[in-house]
Amino acid sequence: MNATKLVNHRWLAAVLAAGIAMLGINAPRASGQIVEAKVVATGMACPFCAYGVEKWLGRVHGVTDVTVDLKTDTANLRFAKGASLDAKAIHRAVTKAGFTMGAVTVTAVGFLTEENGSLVLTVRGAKQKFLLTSPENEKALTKLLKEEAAIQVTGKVQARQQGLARLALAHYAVVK
Amino acid sequence: MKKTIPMRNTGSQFFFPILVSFGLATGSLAWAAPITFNTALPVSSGEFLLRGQLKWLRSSDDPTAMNRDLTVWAAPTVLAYGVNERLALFGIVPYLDKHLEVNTPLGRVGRGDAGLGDATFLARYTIWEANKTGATLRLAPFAGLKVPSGDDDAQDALGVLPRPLQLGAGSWDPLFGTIFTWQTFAGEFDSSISYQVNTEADGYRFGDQAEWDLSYQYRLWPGKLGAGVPGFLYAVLESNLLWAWQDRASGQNVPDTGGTTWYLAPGLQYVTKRYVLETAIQLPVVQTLNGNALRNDFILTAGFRVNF
Repeated sequence: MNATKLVNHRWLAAVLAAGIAMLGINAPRASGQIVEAKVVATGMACPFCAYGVEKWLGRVHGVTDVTVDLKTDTANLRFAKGASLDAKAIHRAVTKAGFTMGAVTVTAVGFLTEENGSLVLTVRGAKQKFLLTSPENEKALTKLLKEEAAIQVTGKVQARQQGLARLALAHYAVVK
Repeated sequence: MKKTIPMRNTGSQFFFPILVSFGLATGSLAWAAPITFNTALPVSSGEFLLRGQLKWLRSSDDPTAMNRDLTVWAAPTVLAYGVNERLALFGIVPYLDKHLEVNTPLGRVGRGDAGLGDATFLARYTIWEANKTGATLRLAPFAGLKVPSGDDDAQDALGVLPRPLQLGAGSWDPLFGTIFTWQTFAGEFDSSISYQVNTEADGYRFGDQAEWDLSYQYRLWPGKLGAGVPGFLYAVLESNLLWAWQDRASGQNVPDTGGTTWYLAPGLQYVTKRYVLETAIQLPVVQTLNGNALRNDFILTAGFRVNF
């Protein structure tokens, strides 16, 4: 009898643990997050140059990992959970390293909302919003807005508008 | 009537303009090095760059009866710091070991000294740059001062060493110049022009020095650029054109000093994100030196750079 109870408790504990784990896995998806950013630092032309770029970008708040691809003059940034994308700090870092800031392409998971008639990607986990500019995808995105689906978007960061960073959408996918 | 110039001041029995004009005595090798124009490389804001080199200089082709044979080992250490993205400061301190074998009425004798040479401090400011994918062009004037940190009154059993055998010049010498860099994935081209105004110390003044250095680095490996940051192996060919004006002592030109030298320096350089390994040999193509100045055979250089 006691042995049966113990087995039942173990099952219950395992189910609870699995449930908690699933909640944990879904947490970033549910709240959204900045996944990565590709930063073009023009002028990097030798391995020695890459070190400064990695060092300075690695100091930007929320950045956990930086890898440089010389061939494309690009630095790939990974972010901590809950970290936001600070485009100004990234610009400062590239300049301090001695190079010229190019395009910043960000990949983020979030939810679509509508603000002042514009589509906005809200990354709750990072407390950050991006104004989406993608005329060709407007219909499909409006549909997703109604479905309240989580989506992963990739796009180039552009000048701010209505107090928000604009994102020229290059690619998106529904997060299931 | 010609003035008699004390031997201590002239060093005219030894005549090593190459030592002076090429900066072995001054530590300015870091700027005119036949390999690694580190002043052309970007030193990021807040970043340090350390360069260590070992140089072996031989001068043995003496047409005179003195049959002079000079060996110099030089180990200049360069520390650079990026104050901001445009301004970089450099400190250069050489360790020198100079040894001369020479025929004298007393027989063949060896003379020389070893220790720290004159330190040089420089500031470089990038006034113009143009960056595009995989390429950068930069123009940066620099100015600095060579300070008399090396011993300039060393003696041996024969008396005070001649000036060119001393580790330091004893003078405070300003220098200035400009460096231009064009770097691409395939290679790098640098051109540096500098001028050092040598001042008088203890009645002796080394001739001013001007240098024009060119460097071309061609990426040998990897042949095709892959992902990430691979190490680069460069074949290097550099040119060093040096002018040294005649030394002055007691108001007179010192004979057998000054002249023009042109070196070509083939070399190899391996560059990674954090460090650089390099070697080159400078071979004199032209040595138009005054009088019986001792001609240089070669200068062999091996070194490393690391940034942190």
